[in-house]
Amino acid sequence: MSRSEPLLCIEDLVIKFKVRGQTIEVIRGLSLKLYRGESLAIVGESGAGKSVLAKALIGALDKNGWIDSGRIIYEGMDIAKFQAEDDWLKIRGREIAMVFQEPMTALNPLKTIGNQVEEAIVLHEGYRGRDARERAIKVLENAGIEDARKLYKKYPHELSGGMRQRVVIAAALACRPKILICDEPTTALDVTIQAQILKLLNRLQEEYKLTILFISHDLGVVAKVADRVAVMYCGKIVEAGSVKEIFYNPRDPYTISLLSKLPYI
Amino acid sequence: MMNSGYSYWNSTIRAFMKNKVSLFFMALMAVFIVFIIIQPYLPNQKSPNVIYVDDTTGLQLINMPPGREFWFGTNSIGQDMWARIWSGTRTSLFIGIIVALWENAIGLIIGVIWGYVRRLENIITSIYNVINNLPRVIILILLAYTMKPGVLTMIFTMCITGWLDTARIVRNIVVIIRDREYNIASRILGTPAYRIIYRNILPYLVSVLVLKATLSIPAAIGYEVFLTYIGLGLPLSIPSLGNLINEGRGYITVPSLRYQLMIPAMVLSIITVSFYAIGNAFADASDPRNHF
Amino acid sequence: MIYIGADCMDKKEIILEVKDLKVEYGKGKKRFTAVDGVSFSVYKGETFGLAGESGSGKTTIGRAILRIVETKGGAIVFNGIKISGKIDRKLDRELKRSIQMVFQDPMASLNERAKVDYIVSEGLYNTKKYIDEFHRRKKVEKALLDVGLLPQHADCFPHEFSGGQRQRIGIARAIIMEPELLILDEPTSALDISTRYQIISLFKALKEKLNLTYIFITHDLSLLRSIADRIAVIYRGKIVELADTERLFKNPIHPYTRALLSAIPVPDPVVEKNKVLYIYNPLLYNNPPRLVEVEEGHFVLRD
Repeated sequence: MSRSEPLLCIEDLVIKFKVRGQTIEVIRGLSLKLYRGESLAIVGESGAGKSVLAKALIGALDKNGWIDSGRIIYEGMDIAKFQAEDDWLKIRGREIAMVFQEPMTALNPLKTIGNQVEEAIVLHEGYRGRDARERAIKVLENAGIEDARKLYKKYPHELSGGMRQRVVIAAALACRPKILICDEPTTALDVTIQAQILKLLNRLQEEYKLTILFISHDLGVVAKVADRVAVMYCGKIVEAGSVKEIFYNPRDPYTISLLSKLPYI
Repeated sequence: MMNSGYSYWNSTIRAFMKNKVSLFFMALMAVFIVFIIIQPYLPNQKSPNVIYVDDTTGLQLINMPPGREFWFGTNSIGQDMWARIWSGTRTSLFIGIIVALWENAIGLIIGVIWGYVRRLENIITSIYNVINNLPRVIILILLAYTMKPGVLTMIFTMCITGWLDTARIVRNIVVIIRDREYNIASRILGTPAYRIIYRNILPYLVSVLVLKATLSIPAAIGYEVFLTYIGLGLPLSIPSLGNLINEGRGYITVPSLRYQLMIPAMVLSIITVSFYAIGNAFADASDPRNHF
Repeated sequence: MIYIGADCMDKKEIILEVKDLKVEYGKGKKRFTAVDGVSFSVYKGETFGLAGESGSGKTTIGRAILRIVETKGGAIVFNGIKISGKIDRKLDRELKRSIQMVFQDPMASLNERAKVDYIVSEGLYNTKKYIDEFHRRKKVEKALLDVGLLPQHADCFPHEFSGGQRQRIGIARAIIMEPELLILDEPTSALDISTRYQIISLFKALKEKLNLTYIFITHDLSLLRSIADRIAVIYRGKIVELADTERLFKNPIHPYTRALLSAIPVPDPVVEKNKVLYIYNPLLYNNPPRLVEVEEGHFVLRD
């Protein structure tokens, strides 16, 4: 892991929301660096603003939220300044892709899964027709779906939660993005399925040379996946460091309190 | 934490008051209804059914345009349009409100039983399917044809099938809510079914019901207009918006006589738009997410 | 960590016995066996853990004990009296007091339109276990204090509270009935880490204070390690292993238990990154499998 130029650099980001007439600051001057090839985990409890941050990185903030100040530098561009959908379309999917917690929100219940993966491929890579189909099947198989050809024609609700998440991951990686953001991707899954998905992500990261931004509230999951960890509290990063530093030598009181609340096996 | 000052109804009313457009329509309807109730008792009002005759010629004062004597003019047989319009609106609104009340009361009761009592679910679903598959229009036509034309007949025919929609909407909501954890909790605590329905389920139905009820009124008037259009409405001696629109329909090509269609049509439009606006505003206001 | 094992207690009084419980859902072709011949006993005063993933049937067992779900076969015996199947009204009413439940989702388990006062006293209204209005209100206030809330919270509405506080309201609602047995159905799964910790501490305190017995249903085995005395691991409607907590963790025998344990992410980077994942392939039993006692108090499902 080279400590060279960061791939993504967030500087003093401030995001505000208008809720019932009042303006509230959800992200309060957040700074974070994401280096190429690493797996960075953002840990925090609900309300810390993790999902808001993730959505801001792909331009999917809710309509009543906006970036008030700060920069998000990616490949020399400040994507925090992006307003037009067109700008985001160049980044989303192709450069930065996202996997959500609830696979059903990412998948269209009315389309077959094969169709949806193909769609991503056609959109971002320009394959057509049978080429796109073959590529989609390959991508699905690579995500651990063995009967990809058979499952191609199935609809999302016919698959189990773990399978759906594999489909979502496959679709996200179909376009070979540089950064994959995972927002609590395994929280809704059973523990054994979670373990499989995490293993899959590890393997895919090596294979595709991905940089992963992993958001979770589960410290066990973080211990498994992360190279570096950033602890988030009330819209700010309170501590960041290598995964060993954070777990074995935490310095911030919030981090310490979080670690102390865990039932250890 | 201090004492909660939150009251669902207070917040709903407050949210409703914020919507100036619907307040306007509400005020409009209030004034409107008061007016049409007191209209016959105002001075110088004419009777809707009397045929007016010119004193000098002895001829009926037919098709006179709106003027000083007859504010809305007269129709093709010399009756005062002003009196007829308001009499007709009274009748139509009366039918509309009664039908709306009935539809929603019966629809609510049946919908709740249908959704909550699992043993009766299949039976009621079958009944619903049978009645629903018969086109409502055909039933209306058959009944209106066989029974003597009149206000009660109108009300009866619309009430026979009108409850179906409300029942289905209520039932769908009940089915979704009945298995939510707080309802299971109530069952485990031994709460009897009637109290679960009253305290846990009914509050969530109120806003849907009010919306449905406010929209039922213009819908009922619309049905009445439709039945009149096909000749199965009220007799001509009982003016209604349907009758008036039907009468005026023939004159659409004659510019000078168009008022006989425009005026009742405009009244109908105002009523419909007002109730839609009020109903929608109330539905929004009663959604707890819009409170504060 | 203090280890309280069942064999520390000399007098093992059984408060609940589940005997060969079978629960089915659906009709005809779509019939699905959620609980397939489950048997276990719960001792008075213990915390009995029921661990399984989704579809294992653990929630169904809890609901069958509370009589929300019909049982297809087997029996549930509470304090020596059969409570499954048809029972008379008096027993039914008595059970509403003796066995209560705390639910998973604090956002869905409270009636948004009712005041906390009503929510907490709902059971009291049903069983009329209070003398007058003043007495009832006093009971509500005591229950709120017991769970760490304030008496004036009784006049507030659920949406004014956080997830953790709402869960406390749900607990107050259950304990005000003065139950003997509390079924906890994933009571902390929807909560944050810190809140989870507080609620677990609350459960431990309440158990001591009010002489409760818990059946703790969850998918989180690591959570059970900190609170449960004995644990039954459930897979697809069958108990695959049953043992004292520490024995289960130190010596898991059934392959599913081992797969489950290895899958749980440990908040320790070195351990986690070097861990080998144990995959469970559903066993095919040659004969009808039974629970075999491999060592004292430790049962494993085998042919």
